[in-house]
Amino acid sequence: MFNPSLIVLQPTAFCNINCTYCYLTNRDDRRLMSSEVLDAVCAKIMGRLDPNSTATLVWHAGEPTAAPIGWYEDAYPRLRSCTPPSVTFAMQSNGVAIDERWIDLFRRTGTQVSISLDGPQRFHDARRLTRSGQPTWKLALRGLKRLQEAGHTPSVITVLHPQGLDSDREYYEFYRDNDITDVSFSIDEKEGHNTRSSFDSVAYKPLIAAFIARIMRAAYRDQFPLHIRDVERIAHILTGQVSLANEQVEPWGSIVVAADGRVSTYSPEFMEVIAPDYDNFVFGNVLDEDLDDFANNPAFRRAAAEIEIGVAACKLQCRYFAVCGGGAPVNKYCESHLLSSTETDFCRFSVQASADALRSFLSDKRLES
Amino acid sequence: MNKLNRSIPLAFLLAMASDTSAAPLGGTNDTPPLLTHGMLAEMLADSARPPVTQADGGGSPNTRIAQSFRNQGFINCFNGGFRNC
Repeated sequence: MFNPSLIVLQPTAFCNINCTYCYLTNRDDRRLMSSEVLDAVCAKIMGRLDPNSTATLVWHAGEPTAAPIGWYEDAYPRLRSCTPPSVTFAMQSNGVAIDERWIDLFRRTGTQVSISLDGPQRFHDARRLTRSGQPTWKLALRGLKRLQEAGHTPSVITVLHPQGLDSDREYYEFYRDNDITDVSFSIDEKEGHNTRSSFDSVAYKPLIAAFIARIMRAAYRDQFPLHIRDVERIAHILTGQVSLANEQVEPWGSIVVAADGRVSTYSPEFMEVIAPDYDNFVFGNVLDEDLDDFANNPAFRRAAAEIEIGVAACKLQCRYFAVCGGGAPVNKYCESHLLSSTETDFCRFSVQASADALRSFLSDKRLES
Repeated sequence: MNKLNRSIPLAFLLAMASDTSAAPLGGTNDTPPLLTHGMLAEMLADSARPPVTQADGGGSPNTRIAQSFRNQGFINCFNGGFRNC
């Protein structure tokens, strides 16, 4: 059954900035997704969704605002005509180009926006740079403010800096003072073009957990409603409000379509990975093939079998399995070249650290001190 | 003030309940507890039924219901803002 929860479309692989930890292999490629690819996405993917699908379609790349607004003016009607009404449209942006015209587009199309913003200026500007090496914090914050002033509530993704883990107060005050109430933390993962992570030791796990827990305590004391998505997701599972779901280990639980129509599944970042043994995790092209063809692709079948072995091993070995569901195949491959492997840095620093932070936060009797 | 999402984080609702109960997740850093689906469901139900301590507005569309949790420093107004209610 084809019931993805996440559909990632890359209008262009190009990015207008050049972060030091970027994993995108093709971020210099300025080609735009053609109308033929969009129509094929409609016919072969969106048109196959359950009529009640609650999937999220995310414009991601690259930097999606590097594509002209006019491109989206054409793309939205095409996609809307073939997409179930309950599907949500979203965009992940670096924020630097967001102006009134983009905000008007987001308003007219009901698009939710998430901004990549690495917290306080000194940590953001250390690594998120323009192509000429200039800092981008002020530009990204300007985009965030413009969205907020227009009534949007953009969420934020923060890639942590290892030297920032003692500066939880500075991070918290940044979110509080800028009315950022929805944030997700991640690390600079070793994948694609980024061949090493600055979080290069398992010793970072308790430090990240403590960092998140201290931010939660500060927000709780201030009654500032800071939603840390990684923690909230785990809390929802532990309270039984949602079932465990990990779209990254479900075949076609997520699907990514590149600007030229290439298709991948499992972890969206697979589109950026060089892996000849698996046809670079490209399981077909939407211009030439359909879902049945993708599912019969030999590289897909081999990847699917190995990912399943890895998830089964996680279930046997990992005490966090109930809140994780089997990790991220792209991290397994990029760290060990084995899809059948288990624990990765993503597991330790994103899932396990978040669970430990929640545990620490709930166990702390000094919340009111 | 921007019109922001002021819903209460679920972790905070759980914290309200945990303030008067035993450490809910136990374990140590070396031996994390076995996490299971729904293990905190009871705690959530506890925090979701705080005693109503104040209501005004007479049931009109502008009625405000302020609820006091066992954590005395934590009051929430369900008809609007999280802070300054």
